[in-house]
Amino acid sequence: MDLPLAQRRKRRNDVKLPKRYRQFQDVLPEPLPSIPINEVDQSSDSSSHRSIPAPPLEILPPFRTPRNIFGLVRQFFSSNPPSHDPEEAVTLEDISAIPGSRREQPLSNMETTPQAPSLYYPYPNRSSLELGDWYWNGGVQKSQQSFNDLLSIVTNPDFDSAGVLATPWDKINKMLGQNDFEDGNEEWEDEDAGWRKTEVSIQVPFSRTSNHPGVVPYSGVELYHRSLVAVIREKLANTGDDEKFHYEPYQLLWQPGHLQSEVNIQGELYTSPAFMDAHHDLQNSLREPGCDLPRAIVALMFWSDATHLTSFGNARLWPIYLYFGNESKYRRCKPSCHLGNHVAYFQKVTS
Amino acid sequence: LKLPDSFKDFACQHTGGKGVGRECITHCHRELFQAQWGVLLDDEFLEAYAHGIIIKCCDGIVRRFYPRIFTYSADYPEK
Repeated sequence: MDLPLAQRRKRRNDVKLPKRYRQFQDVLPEPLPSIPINEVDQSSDSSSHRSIPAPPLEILPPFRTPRNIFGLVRQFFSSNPPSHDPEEAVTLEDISAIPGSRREQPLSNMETTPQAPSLYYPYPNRSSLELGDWYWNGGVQKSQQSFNDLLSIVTNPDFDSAGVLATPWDKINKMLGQNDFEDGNEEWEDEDAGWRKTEVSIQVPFSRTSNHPGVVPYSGVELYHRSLVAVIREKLANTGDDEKFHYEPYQLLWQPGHLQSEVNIQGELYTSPAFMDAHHDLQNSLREPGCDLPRAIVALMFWSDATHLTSFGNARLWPIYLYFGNESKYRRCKPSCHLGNHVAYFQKVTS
Repeated sequence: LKLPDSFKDFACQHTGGKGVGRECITHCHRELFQAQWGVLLDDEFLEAYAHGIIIKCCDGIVRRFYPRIFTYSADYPEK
Protein backbone atom coordinates (compact mmCIF):
# COMPACT_ATOMS: atom_id res chain seq x y z
CA MET A 1 0.00 0.00 0.00
CA ASP A 2 2.78 2.43 -0.86
CA LEU A 3 0.83 3.94 -3.76
CA PRO A 4 -0.48 7.46 -3.37
CA LEU A 5 -4.15 7.62 -2.55
CA ALA A 6 -5.14 9.06 -5.92
CA GLN A 7 -3.66 6.09 -7.73
CA ARG A 8 -5.10 3.50 -5.41
CA ARG A 9 -8.61 4.31 -6.45
CA LYS A 10 -9.72 2.61 -9.59
CA ARG A 11 -10.90 5.09 -12.13
CA ARG A 12 -14.00 4.43 -14.11
CA ASN A 13 -13.83 5.89 -17.56
CA ASP A 14 -17.25 4.88 -18.74
CA VAL A 15 -19.21 7.11 -16.39
CA LYS A 16 -21.41 9.58 -18.22
CA LEU A 17 -21.43 13.23 -17.28
CA PRO A 18 -24.29 14.19 -14.99
CA LYS A 19 -27.26 15.13 -17.08
CA ARG A 20 -27.15 18.80 -16.12
CA TYR A 21 -23.74 19.13 -17.79
CA ARG A 22 -24.84 17.41 -20.93
CA GLN A 23 -26.18 19.69 -23.59
CA PHE A 24 -27.42 16.99 -25.89
CA GLN A 25 -28.31 13.37 -25.70
CA ASP A 26 -25.29 11.44 -26.90
CA VAL A 27 -25.12 12.48 -30.52
CA LEU A 28 -22.30 11.92 -32.91
CA PRO A 29 -21.03 14.80 -34.97
CA GLU A 30 -23.25 15.02 -37.97
CA PRO A 31 -22.90 16.66 -41.37
CA LEU A 32 -24.60 19.94 -42.02
CA PRO A 33 -28.14 19.78 -43.34
CA SER A 34 -28.21 18.96 -47.01
CA ILE A 35 -30.67 20.03 -49.67
CA PRO A 36 -33.94 18.04 -49.69
CA ILE A 37 -33.97 15.73 -52.69
CA ASN A 38 -37.01 17.18 -54.48
CA GLU A 39 -35.40 20.62 -54.40
CA VAL A 40 -32.23 19.32 -56.02
CA ASP A 41 -34.21 17.64 -58.78
CA GLN A 42 -35.97 20.86 -59.64
CA SER A 43 -32.78 22.79 -59.84
CA SER A 44 -30.94 20.31 -62.03
CA ASP A 45 -33.92 20.22 -64.37
CA SER A 46 -33.94 23.93 -64.82
CA SER A 47 -30.21 24.15 -65.33
CA SER A 48 -30.08 21.38 -67.89
CA HIS A 49 -32.83 22.99 -69.95
CA ARG A 50 -30.88 26.20 -69.92
CA SER A 51 -34.09 28.20 -69.67
CA ILE A 52 -33.44 31.33 -67.74
CA PRO A 53 -36.59 32.31 -65.91
CA ALA A 54 -37.73 35.89 -66.23
CA PRO A 55 -36.30 37.94 -63.39
CA PRO A 56 -38.84 38.05 -60.60
CA LEU A 57 -40.37 41.41 -59.90
CA GLU A 58 -40.13 41.03 -56.18
CA ILE A 59 -37.05 39.75 -54.41
CA LEU A 60 -37.52 36.18 -53.30
CA PRO A 61 -36.24 35.10 -49.89
CA PRO A 62 -32.94 33.22 -49.91
CA PHE A 63 -33.05 29.45 -50.01
CA ARG A 64 -32.70 27.78 -46.59
CA THR A 65 -32.14 24.19 -45.60
CA PRO A 66 -34.04 22.56 -42.75
CA ARG A 67 -32.41 22.59 -39.33
CA ASN A 68 -30.16 19.75 -38.31
CA ILE A 69 -30.07 18.23 -34.83
CA PHE A 70 -27.86 21.06 -33.54
CA GLY A 71 -30.21 23.74 -34.81
CA LEU A 72 -27.90 24.71 -37.68
CA VAL A 73 -29.37 26.09 -40.89
CA ARG A 74 -27.64 26.89 -44.16
CA GLN A 75 -28.89 29.97 -45.96
CA PHE A 76 -27.83 30.66 -49.53
CA PHE A 77 -27.44 33.84 -51.51
CA SER A 78 -29.85 32.73 -54.19
CA SER A 79 -33.52 31.90 -53.73
CA ASN A 80 -32.89 28.64 -55.60
CA PRO A 81 -31.13 25.69 -54.04
CA PRO A 82 -27.54 25.21 -55.21
CA SER A 83 -27.00 23.00 -58.25
CA HIS A 84 -24.23 21.13 -56.47
CA ASP A 85 -24.25 20.37 -52.76
CA PRO A 86 -20.94 19.14 -51.37
CA GLU A 87 -22.40 18.67 -47.87
CA GLU A 88 -24.36 15.77 -49.26
CA ALA A 89 -21.13 13.85 -49.83
CA VAL A 90 -19.78 14.56 -46.35
CA THR A 91 -19.48 11.52 -44.12
CA LEU A 92 -18.64 11.11 -40.46
CA GLU A 93 -15.08 10.28 -41.50
CA ASP A 94 -14.71 13.69 -43.12
CA ILE A 95 -15.66 15.63 -40.02
CA SER A 96 -13.98 13.54 -37.38
CA ALA A 97 -10.61 12.01 -36.77
CA ILE A 98 -11.71 8.65 -35.47
CA PRO A 99 -8.77 6.35 -36.05
CA GLY A 100 -9.51 3.38 -38.21
CA SER A 101 -12.82 4.74 -39.40
CA ARG A 102 -11.38 6.07 -42.61
CA ARG A 103 -12.42 4.09 -45.60
CA GLU A 104 -9.87 3.08 -48.19
CA GLN A 105 -9.32 6.18 -50.26
CA PRO A 106 -10.08 5.58 -53.91
CA LEU A 107 -6.99 5.96 -56.02
CA SER A 108 -6.70 9.31 -57.70
CA ASN A 109 -7.82 9.57 -61.26
CA MET A 110 -4.25 10.38 -62.26
CA GLU A 111 -3.65 6.65 -62.23
CA THR A 112 -3.04 5.59 -65.79
CA THR A 113 -3.83 1.90 -65.46
CA PRO A 114 -7.57 1.36 -65.45
CA GLN A 115 -7.58 -1.83 -63.41
CA ALA A 116 -6.68 -1.79 -59.74
CA PRO A 117 -2.91 -2.21 -59.43
CA SER A 118 -1.72 -5.40 -57.86
CA LEU A 119 -0.54 -5.52 -54.28
CA TYR A 120 2.83 -6.57 -55.67
CA TYR A 121 3.04 -3.76 -58.20
CA PRO A 122 4.67 -3.69 -60.69
CA TYR A 123 4.60 -7.48 -60.48
CA PRO A 124 1.22 -9.13 -60.99
CA ASN A 125 1.55 -11.74 -58.24
CA ARG A 126 3.60 -12.79 -55.28
CA SER A 127 5.61 -15.49 -57.01
CA SER A 128 6.70 -13.06 -59.74
CA LEU A 129 7.67 -10.50 -57.13
CA GLU A 130 9.79 -13.06 -55.29
CA LEU A 131 11.50 -14.13 -58.50
CA GLY A 132 12.08 -10.51 -59.50
CA ASP A 133 13.50 -9.78 -56.07
CA TRP A 134 15.77 -12.79 -56.31
CA TYR A 135 16.98 -11.71 -59.74
CA TRP A 136 17.64 -8.06 -58.93
CA ASN A 137 18.54 -8.03 -55.26
CA GLY A 138 20.25 -11.38 -54.83
CA GLY A 139 23.69 -10.15 -55.85
CA VAL A 140 25.46 -10.45 -59.19
CA GLN A 141 27.19 -13.75 -58.54
CA LYS A 142 25.46 -17.05 -58.08
CA SER A 143 26.08 -18.54 -54.69
CA GLN A 144 24.92 -21.54 -52.76
CA GLN A 145 22.80 -19.28 -50.63
CA SER A 146 21.09 -17.63 -53.55
CA PHE A 147 20.46 -21.01 -55.16
CA ASN A 148 18.77 -22.11 -51.94
CA ASP A 149 16.73 -18.92 -51.97
CA LEU A 150 15.59 -19.70 -55.50
CA LEU A 151 14.69 -23.23 -54.51
CA SER A 152 12.59 -22.05 -51.62
CA ILE A 153 10.70 -19.70 -53.92
CA VAL A 154 9.84 -22.30 -56.55
CA THR A 155 9.10 -25.09 -54.08
CA ASN A 156 6.69 -22.96 -52.06
CA PRO A 157 3.27 -24.71 -52.19
CA ASP A 158 1.73 -21.34 -53.13
CA PHE A 159 4.06 -20.91 -56.09
CA ASP A 160 1.98 -19.69 -59.02
CA SER A 161 3.72 -21.02 -62.12
CA ALA A 162 0.90 -19.94 -64.46
CA GLY A 163 1.13 -16.40 -63.07
CA VAL A 164 4.88 -16.37 -63.48
CA LEU A 165 4.58 -17.56 -67.08
CA ALA A 166 2.13 -14.77 -67.87
CA THR A 167 4.31 -12.07 -66.31
CA PRO A 168 5.58 -9.50 -68.85
CA TRP A 169 9.14 -9.56 -67.52
CA ASP A 170 10.73 -7.26 -70.10
CA LYS A 171 8.10 -4.62 -69.58
CA ILE A 172 8.39 -4.71 -65.80
CA ASN A 173 12.19 -4.62 -65.85
CA LYS A 174 12.05 -1.61 -68.16
CA MET A 175 9.62 0.13 -65.79
CA LEU A 176 11.88 -0.57 -62.84
CA GLY A 177 14.82 0.91 -64.70
CA GLN A 178 13.00 4.10 -65.52
CA ASN A 179 13.62 7.17 -63.46
CA ASP A 180 11.00 9.89 -63.70
CA PHE A 181 13.59 12.59 -63.43
CA GLU A 182 16.14 11.46 -65.98
CA ASP A 183 13.75 10.45 -68.71
CA GLY A 184 14.88 12.58 -71.63
CA ASN A 185 14.73 16.26 -70.77
CA GLU A 186 14.54 17.75 -67.34
CA GLU A 187 11.16 17.14 -65.78
CA TRP A 188 10.84 20.86 -65.03
CA GLU A 189 10.78 21.76 -68.66
CA ASP A 190 8.36 19.06 -69.60
CA GLU A 191 5.17 20.74 -70.77
CA ASP A 192 3.05 17.85 -69.54
CA ALA A 193 4.10 18.33 -65.96
CA GLY A 194 2.85 21.91 -66.32
CA TRP A 195 6.02 23.46 -64.94
CA ARG A 196 7.58 26.39 -66.67
CA LYS A 197 10.89 28.12 -66.28
CA THR A 198 10.74 31.88 -66.68
CA GLU A 199 13.67 34.21 -66.53
CA VAL A 200 13.05 37.13 -64.20
CA SER A 201 14.99 40.36 -64.36
CA ILE A 202 15.15 43.28 -61.98
CA GLN A 203 16.55 46.79 -62.14
CA VAL A 204 19.49 47.26 -59.82
CA PRO A 205 20.40 50.84 -58.89
CA PHE A 206 24.09 51.75 -58.53
CA SER A 207 24.96 54.87 -56.59
CA ARG A 208 26.84 57.89 -57.84
CA THR A 209 29.98 56.73 -56.07
CA SER A 210 30.21 53.49 -58.01
CA ASN A 211 32.13 53.02 -61.24
CA HIS A 212 29.04 52.91 -63.43
CA PRO A 213 26.28 54.91 -61.74
CA GLY A 214 22.73 54.31 -62.87
CA VAL A 215 20.28 51.49 -63.21
CA VAL A 216 21.44 48.18 -64.65
CA PRO A 217 19.11 45.29 -65.35
CA TYR A 218 20.07 42.05 -63.65
CA SER A 219 18.61 38.92 -65.19
CA GLY A 220 19.46 35.30 -64.89
CA VAL A 221 17.04 34.49 -62.09
CA GLU A 222 15.07 31.44 -63.09
CA LEU A 223 11.64 31.07 -61.60
CA TYR A 224 10.12 27.60 -61.68
CA HIS A 225 6.35 27.89 -61.67
CA ARG A 226 3.06 26.56 -62.94
CA SER A 227 0.25 28.41 -64.63
CA LEU A 228 -2.34 29.34 -62.01
CA VAL A 229 -5.15 28.93 -64.54
CA ALA A 230 -3.90 25.44 -65.38
CA VAL A 231 -3.88 24.52 -61.67
CA ILE A 232 -7.46 25.78 -61.34
CA ARG A 233 -8.58 23.82 -64.41
CA GLU A 234 -6.89 20.70 -63.12
CA LYS A 235 -8.58 21.10 -59.74
CA LEU A 236 -12.08 21.43 -61.17
CA ALA A 237 -11.58 18.52 -63.55
CA ASN A 238 -10.61 16.23 -60.67
CA THR A 239 -13.67 14.08 -59.98
CA GLY A 240 -12.53 13.09 -56.51
CA ASP A 241 -12.16 16.66 -55.30
CA ASP A 242 -15.04 18.14 -57.25
CA GLU A 243 -17.62 16.32 -55.18
CA LYS A 244 -16.64 18.29 -52.10
CA PHE A 245 -15.92 21.59 -53.83
CA HIS A 246 -18.28 24.40 -52.82
CA TYR A 247 -19.31 26.44 -55.84
CA GLU A 248 -21.57 28.63 -53.76
CA PRO A 249 -20.99 30.17 -50.36
CA TYR A 250 -23.69 30.03 -47.72
CA GLN A 251 -24.37 31.45 -44.31
CA LEU A 252 -24.34 28.99 -41.48
CA LEU A 253 -26.94 30.12 -38.97
CA TRP A 254 -27.77 28.97 -35.49
CA GLN A 255 -30.87 29.75 -33.53
CA PRO A 256 -30.13 29.33 -29.85
CA GLY A 257 -33.13 29.06 -27.57
CA HIS A 258 -32.28 32.11 -25.48
CA LEU A 259 -31.79 34.56 -28.33
CA GLN A 260 -34.29 36.36 -30.51
CA SER A 261 -32.29 36.27 -33.73
CA GLU A 262 -30.11 33.80 -35.53
CA VAL A 263 -26.36 33.84 -35.02
CA ASN A 264 -23.86 33.59 -37.85
CA ILE A 265 -21.46 30.70 -37.40
CA GLN A 266 -18.01 31.33 -38.83
CA GLY A 267 -15.67 28.51 -39.62
CA GLU A 268 -15.08 27.93 -43.29
CA LEU A 269 -14.04 30.32 -46.03
CA TYR A 270 -17.17 29.41 -47.98
CA THR A 271 -19.36 30.46 -45.04
CA SER A 272 -17.45 33.71 -44.50
CA PRO A 273 -18.75 37.23 -45.19
CA ALA A 274 -15.75 37.77 -47.52
CA PHE A 275 -16.78 34.88 -49.77
CA MET A 276 -20.44 35.93 -49.61
CA ASP A 277 -19.50 39.48 -50.63
CA ALA A 278 -17.35 38.26 -53.52
CA HIS A 279 -20.14 35.95 -54.66
CA HIS A 280 -22.69 38.74 -54.32
CA ASP A 281 -20.56 41.17 -56.33
CA LEU A 282 -20.00 38.57 -59.03
CA GLN A 283 -23.70 37.71 -59.38
CA ASN A 284 -24.58 41.42 -59.61
CA SER A 285 -21.85 42.23 -62.13
CA LEU A 286 -22.44 42.50 -65.86
CA ARG A 287 -22.43 39.17 -67.62
CA GLU A 288 -20.01 38.38 -70.42
CA PRO A 289 -21.78 39.18 -73.70
CA GLY A 290 -24.00 36.29 -74.77
CA CYS A 291 -23.10 34.13 -71.80
CA ASP A 292 -25.75 32.78 -69.47
CA LEU A 293 -23.60 30.22 -67.65
CA PRO A 294 -23.81 30.06 -63.88
CA ARG A 295 -20.93 32.03 -62.37
CA ALA A 296 -18.87 30.91 -59.41
CA ILE A 297 -15.90 32.08 -57.36
CA VAL A 298 -12.72 30.05 -57.10
CA ALA A 299 -11.23 31.05 -53.75
CA LEU A 300 -7.46 31.06 -53.92
CA MET A 301 -5.46 30.78 -50.71
CA PHE A 302 -1.72 31.15 -51.14
CA TRP A 303 0.69 29.83 -48.57
CA SER A 304 4.42 29.76 -48.45
CA ASP A 305 7.17 28.95 -46.06
CA ALA A 306 10.86 28.84 -46.86
CA THR A 307 12.23 25.49 -45.80
CA HIS A 308 15.67 24.22 -45.07
CA LEU A 309 16.35 21.13 -47.11
CA THR A 310 19.27 19.86 -45.10
CA SER A 311 20.31 19.84 -41.48
CA PHE A 312 23.73 21.15 -42.46
CA GLY A 313 24.48 23.79 -45.01
CA ASN A 314 22.02 26.27 -46.35
CA ALA A 315 20.25 24.62 -49.25
CA ARG A 316 16.82 26.21 -49.08
CA LEU A 317 13.58 26.12 -50.98
CA TRP A 318 10.92 28.76 -50.92
CA PRO A 319 7.82 27.01 -52.25
CA ILE A 320 4.45 28.65 -52.86
CA TYR A 321 1.38 26.50 -52.37
CA LEU A 322 -2.14 27.11 -53.52
CA TYR A 323 -5.13 25.87 -51.56
CA PHE A 324 -8.77 26.33 -52.49
CA GLY A 325 -11.10 28.00 -49.99
CA ASN A 326 -14.02 26.22 -51.68
CA GLU A 327 -12.85 23.13 -49.83
CA SER A 328 -13.34 22.48 -46.15
CA LYS A 329 -10.50 23.36 -43.80
CA TYR A 330 -10.89 19.93 -42.26
CA ARG A 331 -9.99 18.35 -45.58
CA ARG A 332 -7.36 20.92 -46.53
CA CYS A 333 -5.39 20.17 -43.38
CA LYS A 334 -5.37 16.40 -43.96
CA PRO A 335 -2.22 15.60 -45.91
CA SER A 336 -3.88 12.41 -47.17
CA CYS A 337 -6.40 14.52 -49.13
CA HIS A 338 -3.58 16.11 -51.20
CA LEU A 339 -5.32 19.46 -51.49
CA GLY A 340 -2.23 21.66 -51.56
CA ASN A 341 -0.87 22.53 -54.99
CA HIS A 342 2.71 23.60 -55.61
CA VAL A 343 2.65 26.60 -57.89
CA ALA A 344 6.18 28.01 -57.72
CA TYR A 345 9.56 27.97 -56.10
CA PHE A 346 10.70 31.50 -55.40
CA GLN A 347 14.29 32.57 -55.75
CA LYS A 348 15.82 35.14 -53.51
CA VAL A 349 18.77 37.45 -53.44
CA THR A 350 21.12 36.70 -50.60
CA SER A 351 23.98 38.90 -49.68
CA LEU B 1 20.49 27.99 -55.30
CA LYS B 2 23.16 29.36 -57.52
CA LEU B 3 21.70 32.84 -57.53
CA PRO B 4 23.59 34.49 -54.67
CA ASP B 5 27.03 34.06 -56.23
CA SER B 6 25.96 35.26 -59.63
CA PHE B 7 24.31 38.31 -58.08
CA LYS B 8 27.42 39.06 -56.04
CA ASP B 9 29.56 38.82 -59.17
CA PHE B 10 27.16 41.11 -60.98
CA ALA B 11 27.26 43.66 -58.16
CA CYS B 12 31.03 43.57 -57.91
CA GLN B 13 31.41 43.98 -61.64
CA HIS B 14 29.49 47.25 -61.52
CA THR B 15 31.06 48.65 -58.38
CA GLY B 16 34.67 47.90 -59.04
CA GLY B 17 34.73 44.97 -56.64
CA LYS B 18 33.14 46.73 -53.68
CA GLY B 19 29.69 45.17 -53.96
CA VAL B 20 26.47 46.89 -53.00
CA GLY B 21 25.25 47.94 -49.59
CA ARG B 22 22.69 46.23 -47.42
CA GLU B 23 19.96 48.71 -48.36
CA CYS B 24 20.53 47.95 -52.01
CA ILE B 25 20.34 44.21 -51.38
CA THR B 26 17.07 44.67 -49.52
CA HIS B 27 15.75 46.72 -52.40
CA CYS B 28 16.79 44.07 -54.93
CA HIS B 29 15.26 41.38 -52.79
CA ARG B 30 11.92 43.18 -52.82
CA GLU B 31 12.16 43.85 -56.55
CA LEU B 32 12.87 40.20 -57.22
CA PHE B 33 9.99 39.09 -55.02
CA GLN B 34 7.58 41.43 -56.78
CA ALA B 35 8.90 40.43 -60.19
CA GLN B 36 8.28 36.75 -59.43
CA TRP B 37 4.70 37.44 -58.36
CA GLY B 38 4.42 39.41 -61.59
CA VAL B 39 5.25 36.21 -63.45
CA LEU B 40 2.72 34.16 -61.50
CA LEU B 41 -0.07 36.71 -61.96
CA ASP B 42 0.35 36.59 -65.73
CA ASP B 43 -1.93 37.83 -68.50
CA GLU B 44 -3.69 34.48 -68.61
CA PHE B 45 -4.58 34.84 -64.93
CA LEU B 46 -5.66 38.47 -65.26
CA GLU B 47 -7.88 37.53 -68.20
CA ALA B 48 -9.44 34.77 -66.07
CA TYR B 49 -9.82 37.21 -63.18
CA ALA B 50 -11.72 39.71 -65.29
CA HIS B 51 -13.72 37.49 -67.62
CA GLY B 52 -13.75 34.10 -65.91
CA ILE B 53 -12.82 30.73 -67.29
CA ILE B 54 -15.39 28.30 -68.62
CA ILE B 55 -15.06 24.83 -67.16
CA LYS B 56 -17.31 21.82 -67.51
CA CYS B 57 -17.60 20.49 -63.99
CA CYS B 58 -17.78 16.85 -63.05
CA ASP B 59 -21.52 17.20 -62.35
CA GLY B 60 -21.96 17.93 -66.07
CA ILE B 61 -22.84 21.60 -65.59
CA VAL B 62 -20.74 24.18 -67.42
CA ARG B 63 -19.86 27.11 -65.20
CA ARG B 64 -17.82 30.28 -65.56
CA PHE B 65 -15.28 30.53 -62.76
CA TYR B 66 -13.71 33.72 -61.49
CA PRO B 67 -10.54 33.30 -59.42
CA ARG B 68 -10.30 35.57 -56.39
CA ILE B 69 -7.45 35.72 -53.91
CA PHE B 70 -8.73 35.47 -50.35
CA THR B 71 -5.71 34.80 -48.22
CA TYR B 72 -1.97 35.00 -48.52
CA SER B 73 -0.08 33.51 -45.61
CA ALA B 74 3.59 33.75 -46.24
CA ASP B 75 6.92 34.33 -44.76
CA TYR B 76 9.04 37.07 -46.22
CA PRO B 77 12.66 36.35 -45.50
CA GLU B 78 14.18 39.77 -44.89
CA LYS B 79 17.72 38.55 -44.74
